[in-house]
Amino acid sequence: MIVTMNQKNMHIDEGSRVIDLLVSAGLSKRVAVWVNDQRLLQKEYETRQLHEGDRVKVLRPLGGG
Amino acid sequence: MSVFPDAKILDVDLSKGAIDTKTLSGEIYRLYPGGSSLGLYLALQEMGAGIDPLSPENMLIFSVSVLTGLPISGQSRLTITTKSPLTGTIGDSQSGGFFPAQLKINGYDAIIFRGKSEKPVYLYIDGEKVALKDASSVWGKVTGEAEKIIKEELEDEQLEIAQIGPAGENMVKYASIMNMSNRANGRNGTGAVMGSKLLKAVVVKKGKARKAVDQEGFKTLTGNVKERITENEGVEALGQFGTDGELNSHNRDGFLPTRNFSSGYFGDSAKKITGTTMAKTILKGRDTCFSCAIRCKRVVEVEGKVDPFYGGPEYETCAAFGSFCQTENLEDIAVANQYCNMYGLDTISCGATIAFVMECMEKGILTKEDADGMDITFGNGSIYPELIKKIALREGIGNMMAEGSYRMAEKLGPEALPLSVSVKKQELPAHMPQYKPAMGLIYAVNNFGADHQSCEHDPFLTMPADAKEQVWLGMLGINLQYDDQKTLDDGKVRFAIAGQKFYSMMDSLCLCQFSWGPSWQLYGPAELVDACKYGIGWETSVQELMDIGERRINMMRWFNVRDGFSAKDDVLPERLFDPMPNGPSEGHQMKKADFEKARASYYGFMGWDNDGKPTEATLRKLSLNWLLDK
Repeated sequence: MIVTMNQKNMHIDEGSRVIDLLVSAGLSKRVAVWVNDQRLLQKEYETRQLHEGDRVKVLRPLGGG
Repeated sequence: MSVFPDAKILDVDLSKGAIDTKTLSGEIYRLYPGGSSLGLYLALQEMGAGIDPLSPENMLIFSVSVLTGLPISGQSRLTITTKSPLTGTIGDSQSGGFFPAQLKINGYDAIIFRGKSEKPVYLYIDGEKVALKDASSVWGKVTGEAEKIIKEELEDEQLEIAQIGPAGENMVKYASIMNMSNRANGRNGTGAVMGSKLLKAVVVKKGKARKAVDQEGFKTLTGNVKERITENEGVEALGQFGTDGELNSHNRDGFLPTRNFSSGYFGDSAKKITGTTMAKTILKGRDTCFSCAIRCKRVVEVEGKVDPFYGGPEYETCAAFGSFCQTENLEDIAVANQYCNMYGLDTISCGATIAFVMECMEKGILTKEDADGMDITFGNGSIYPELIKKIALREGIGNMMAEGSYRMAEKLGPEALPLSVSVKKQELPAHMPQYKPAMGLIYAVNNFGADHQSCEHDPFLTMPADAKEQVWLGMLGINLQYDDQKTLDDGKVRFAIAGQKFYSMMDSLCLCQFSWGPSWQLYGPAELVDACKYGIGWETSVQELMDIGERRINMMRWFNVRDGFSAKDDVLPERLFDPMPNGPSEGHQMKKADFEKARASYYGFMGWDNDGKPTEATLRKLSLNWLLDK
């Protein structure tokens, strides 16, 4: 199925969770995630299933030294 | 209330060649428990307004803290406090390495240098044996050579040496103080003050690590450090790829300072200078500081060009000599890093001043003839060795560049001034205020010029409420979430202030901001309270620690107010309010009105008046009423 992540189409397996999408994009759970404009808790990344057409926004915090 | 140790302070009068030892009571030391706080307390006891930073009247203070030298990551940091010749404000700079821990292990919390020596000298410390020694054999030498000669002369390899290079001797306004020849007290030109006193180096004999007073308790913090690192993605990546690991990520979001801050996008070139590329190409190894498990320091080698003895470039260095100057050759950047470490220059101000000159050349403000025939143009990193040497030795165009971009712009005329991207005459680090506006606010109001390690970075407020970063920020009273890190409002001002107080406290306790901190780091606020208890028997609280940080900020502000600094100096370069011109951030704009409103809120929340001066009530609240007589 297809979902969008930061406005780009991503092909993922049926039944994929948020964490699966993050891993497929080379990310860990150390990010902020919104699905269809709803902010998720970090613990929900492991359980929230994605559906066809879901809009996912991901922000990766950048610090630095 | 727990018992607090006294501070032991060396007082070195270079004019008289006299060395004295003082004790500061634990009662007072607890309010100013090391580092920048202790340095400020000592400086403000004696230094009045109007002192020339390069005159004998300026004090130069090396300080560590009550925690320095304990066997835990991130405690070996040295603070230099003095009046800065670059900014004219209080000067403040930190470095890591082994020197800080060894200074404390030798029994000292601070060294005051006053006056000016008649001839070049260095200070030698071996416990109670302290002496000034002739430095004529190493004056004029680059750091690596000087270190070798001192060890040969003393017939001792077991030494840690903090020293200036030729840039400090020639009083370049952004000269650094180097230890290990690759760790820098880089910012604010503290090396120039050391050079003005004809003090080449401070040499300490190595001793054994301190022991925690409660070793079992201390082990709850240190025993599982490998697991802590493995479980902390940010810290683990820092060890693997160094501070430069995120350079390309900043670029991907469109906020990597490029072409003298005129853009935030370096295109595909950013990948060529980012930490992952460094790891695959020129990286020879990782290095560390005293007792630190993270090992974030880079050691690079390019045969015939770059000697691993001088370490490797940090993110700030890669940006300053890379994207600032539109240079995509990592080897050129590594060479620049080595030359700065050899000659003792701050890589940020040096790279930024070169980027400023490049833009002046492009705009016709400077000609090739002005530049001694050198082709100082964007993208040409091959000039770095020759140009850095000229700056350090104040030769040709290097003499003007040695004053920093702002003073150089003043000489070149009004069309050059907007091209100096600086706050209080100090060049900006490589984090764009347009991307991190709370940090931008701190750039403006910070008492020693723009600094990226004086608060927490905005993006961590986008994290979910149950993320570690947010839980730790909650311990500082910050319970905020943002959908977009680029917002600047009153919530962000509260975040900026809480972060500034915490980081200010860490610069007082001389803690590394990668090991300790209020969000992503290895150890958080609660662990710091535990470290104080188990380490030295100090029963403290997050509130007491935050008060220490706030006290330091207000002491700094008072130091500056006496010299005429005010709201007129708490500004950002105009260029930063222009819309972003290209790349992923194209069109984004930080509104000047939003910034000015945030600055007004900052003053109010800090208990300062509309001109940025602490009120009497604020000083009294912080037990700083003694400042009213200074």
